Amino acid sequence: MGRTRRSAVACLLATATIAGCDRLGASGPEVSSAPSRAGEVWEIDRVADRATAPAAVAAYVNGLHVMVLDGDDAYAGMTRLRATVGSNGARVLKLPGGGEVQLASNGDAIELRLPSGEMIPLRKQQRIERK
Amino acid sequence: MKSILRTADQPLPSMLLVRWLLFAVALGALAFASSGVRAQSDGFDPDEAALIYHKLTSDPIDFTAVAQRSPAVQRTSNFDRPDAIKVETARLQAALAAADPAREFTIRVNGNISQYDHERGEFSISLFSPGYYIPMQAFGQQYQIAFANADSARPIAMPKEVAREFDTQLNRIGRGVVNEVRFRIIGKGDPAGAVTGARVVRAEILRARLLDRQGRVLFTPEVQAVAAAAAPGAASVAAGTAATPFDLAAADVAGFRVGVKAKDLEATLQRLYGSVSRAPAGKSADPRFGGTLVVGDQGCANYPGRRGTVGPGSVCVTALFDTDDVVRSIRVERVFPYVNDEVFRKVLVGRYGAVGDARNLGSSYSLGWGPEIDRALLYDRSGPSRALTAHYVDNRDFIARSGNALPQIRIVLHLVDADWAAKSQR
Repeated sequence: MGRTRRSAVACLLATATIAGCDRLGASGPEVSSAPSRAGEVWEIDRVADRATAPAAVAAYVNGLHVMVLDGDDAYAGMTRLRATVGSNGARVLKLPGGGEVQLASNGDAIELRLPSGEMIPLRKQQRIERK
Repeated sequence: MKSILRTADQPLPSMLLVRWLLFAVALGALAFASSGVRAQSDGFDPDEAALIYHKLTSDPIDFTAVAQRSPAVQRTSNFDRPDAIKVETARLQAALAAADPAREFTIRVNGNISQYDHERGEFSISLFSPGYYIPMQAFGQQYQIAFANADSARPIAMPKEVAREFDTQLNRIGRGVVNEVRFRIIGKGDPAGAVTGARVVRAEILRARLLDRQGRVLFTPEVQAVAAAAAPGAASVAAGTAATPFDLAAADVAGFRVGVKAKDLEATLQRLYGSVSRAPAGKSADPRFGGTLVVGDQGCANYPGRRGTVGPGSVCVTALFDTDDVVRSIRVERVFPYVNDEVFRKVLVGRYGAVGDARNLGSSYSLGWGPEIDRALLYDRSGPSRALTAHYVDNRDFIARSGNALPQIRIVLHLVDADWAAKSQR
C-alpha cells in the first residue's frame, strides 16, 4: 500500500512533464508513458552481430533494447525505472523481474551491462522516418 | 542419451514381461530423440504413474479407447468384446479413482556425466540438464517425465584437484552411470519449458544417487525441494530452470503492459519508434476490441518477395484496445541475428519464472505463462493458450528455408489482459 501511495504521489508530481500514469502496481514498478520530448532515446545496435545477440535478447525482453534516458529516469517501454549510482560510478537500474543492469558511459555509447554479465552498447537513436 | 530403466525395490513380475518388451522396443526408437533417456524398471509401474498424472492434472484420457487396445479385450471373441470393453473401462476408472498422488516411485535410468566445466568447477549429470526427460509408455501412449527441481541435482561440484581423480574414475567406466531417482508426480509440464509435447509429467525429485554399473555409489546429489528451488534468488531462477510462480499482475512485455490508456501507449510508441498507426480494430478482430495501435504496418515476418526489408533490429508492435480506450492486448516483435532456442528459453524463464505450457512446432518454439485464455485472443493459436506467450520463430520465408544460411530469429512477446478477458467473455 505504501509503495502504491508513493507511486501515486510521484505520478501526480510528474504529470506536468509526462503524458500520463496508469495502473500503479501495488508491488510492481511505476507504469508511465515516456516523456514526449525530455531526455534522449538510446537503442542497441541494429547490426547483425551474433556475438551480442544473446545480450540483445535479454535487453529486448526487459524493454531495454530502446529506452528513454532522462536524468535519473529510464523508460523501458512504459515502465519507469529510477537509476541509482553504483560503486563504480555507473548508473544502476533495478529490473522488475529481479536483478539489475548497469549503464556506463563509453565515449558516444553507453554500455549496458546485464545481470548475466553480458554487455551490449547502446547508441543514441537517429530518428527513423517511417513511411 | 541411452539408458535402461531397471531395478528398483522389487523383482520384475513375469506378467509384465510382454509389456516391458514392447516398452523396450518403443524406447529403442526413442534413442534417436536428442533428449530422451531410455528406461526400464521393475518397481516402477508406468500405468500407475500415468493414472496419478491424469488424476492430478485432469488431462483427459479416453478409457474406452485404452480398453479396446488392452490385451484383456483383444483376447476376447467379437461376440464378447463389447462386454469386455465395459468391464475393462470400469476397471480403469476405478484405478484412476484409487490412484494416490502421494505415491513415491523409484526408478533407475542409465545416463552419463559431462566433461568437467573448468569455469564453473563442476560436472553435470545429463539426466538433470534442461531438456532431458524420462520417456514412459502407458496405455498405448507416450509420456515424458520432467523433473521440476532437476537443476538442484544437476551439478557435481568439486575442486579441480579432486575432479581429476573423479574424471579418471568416470573414464574407467566409460562415463556411463546409473541414476537412481526417488520421485513423486506433482503436475503437468516442464517448468523450465525445455521439454515440450503432449503429456509432459512434472515430477519432484525426492532423493537421487549416482551409481556405477555394479551399483556402487559414485555421488549423491544435494536435492532441493521444488518450493526451495523456486525461491526468489535461487540459482535455478538465474539459470532459467526455475519453478518460480508467475505474477501476471506485474507482467510486462518489453516494458509494455495491458490496462493502460491507449493514448499513453501511443505517445510512448511514438517517442520510441516513430510513427504509430491508429485504426479501428477491423472486422476480423474480436468484437471486444475497439481499435489498434500499430508500429510497423507491414509486420516483421518475412515472406517471398519481401526479403531484405526486414532484418535484425526490426521492431513491430500491435496493441488492441477496448471501447474505453484501454489497452487489453499488446504484441511486440523484434528480429535478431541467429540465436539458439536455449538462449531464448533461458532468458524468458529467468524473466518470467516457471513455464505453464510449452510447444515446439519445428520452425517455432513457444512458451506460455499465466491463466488460460480464450484462443480467439491469441497471436498464435497453435501455441500455448496463456495470458503471456513468447515465441521463437525462424524468420525465413519458405523459399529461403531451402538454403543453408542460418535463419534470423523473430521473438514475439504477447500479453493479454486475462482479467478483462474472463470478465468480458461472450
